[in-house]
Amino acid sequence: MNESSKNYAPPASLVEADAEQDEHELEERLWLASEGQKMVIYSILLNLLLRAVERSQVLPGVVLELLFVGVMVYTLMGVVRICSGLGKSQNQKILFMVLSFFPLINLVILVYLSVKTSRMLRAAGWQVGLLGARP
Amino acid sequence: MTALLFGLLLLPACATVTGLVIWAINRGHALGDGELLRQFMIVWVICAAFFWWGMGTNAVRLRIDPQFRLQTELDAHPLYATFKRLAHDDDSKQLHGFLVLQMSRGATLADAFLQARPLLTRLTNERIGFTDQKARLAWGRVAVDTLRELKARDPLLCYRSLSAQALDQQTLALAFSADNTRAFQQAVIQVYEAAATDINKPRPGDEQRVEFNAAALEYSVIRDRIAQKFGESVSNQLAKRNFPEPPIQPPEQMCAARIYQLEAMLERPQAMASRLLDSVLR
Repeated sequence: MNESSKNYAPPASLVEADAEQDEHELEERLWLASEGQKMVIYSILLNLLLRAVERSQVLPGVVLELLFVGVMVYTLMGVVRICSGLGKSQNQKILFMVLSFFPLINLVILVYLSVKTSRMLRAAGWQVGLLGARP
Repeated sequence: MTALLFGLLLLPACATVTGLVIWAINRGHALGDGELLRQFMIVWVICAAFFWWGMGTNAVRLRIDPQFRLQTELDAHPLYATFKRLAHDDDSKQLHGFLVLQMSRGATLADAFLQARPLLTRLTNERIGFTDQKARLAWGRVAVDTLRELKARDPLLCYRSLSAQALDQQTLALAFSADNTRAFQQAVIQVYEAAATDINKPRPGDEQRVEFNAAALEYSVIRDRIAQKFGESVSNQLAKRNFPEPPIQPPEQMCAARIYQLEAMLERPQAMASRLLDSVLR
């Protein structure tokens, strides 16, 4: 390594731009995580609601099945967003998506992701409530 | 239970397969969230559809659905199939209910049919009035062979079968030879098939009719011979179909007399034999 490269310092404008981009990315991840967390919380509530509807036998079986599939897709969207917000790798995202289909384990996974998200959001100064977070 | 477990495992199994497929095809390059979700859902739907189709095939259902397996086994049995096709709804339901109960207790299909023998005997006896002469004779021959087998095994068993007393499960499982069981089931099928033909259709040409008086005369001839051979009281008991428990006469003698009676009837010409058997077996 020569002398000139050792003493090289990036221009202040570039450093500023990098910092701005990092901040922007962090902001985006926080938004993703909070969105994902809301979706996961709503999907848990929707699941409970659907179970109640299933017991009351108000809706025909096929409609219920379709609604369950819809909620499942919604949950997966939430899981993927939280994972992106938490900076998880693609393989980890796939693993969490797969585990979302396992009875009971899916609850543990959703609670785990939600807790992680809450911690990250609180650290960033967000207010985290029962139905989600806001800046 | 197995089917329920399989149903519960279906979604996780599909998700696992989907996860592996997505991981394998996207190794080395990162996907956006939307694309990852889209791919995951497409593969999952294909996988679930495949599993669903597989679960609907007979080969899989036979393994995972005990009720389907039971019904398939039943449907494949010629006697059950005959009942389903030709018997009255009540008869068919009675047999179905009995067999399902036995099999749900762990009996094999063959064992369940052995246990159903008293029921089948009763139902078939009720049908022989509507059947043709050949079927009635076949049923009579099976009745004689059955009594002979039971008598050889234990005269009391033979007597109990005369009095239509319930034989215990173990006795039913062991009392009859395989040949007798086969002949019995064949005769039941024959009776039901013949009874199911339209009663307004003329019977085969060789079926002569026997007048009541002629049959009564022949019946009394046989009764007299029984009285000579086994005694008046045995003959009377047999005629009245009175088989008290405990037996008044020695069971062996009662049983021998009944076998003699049926054999004597079977020796008569077809029309007469058929008429006489109908009167004593129904």
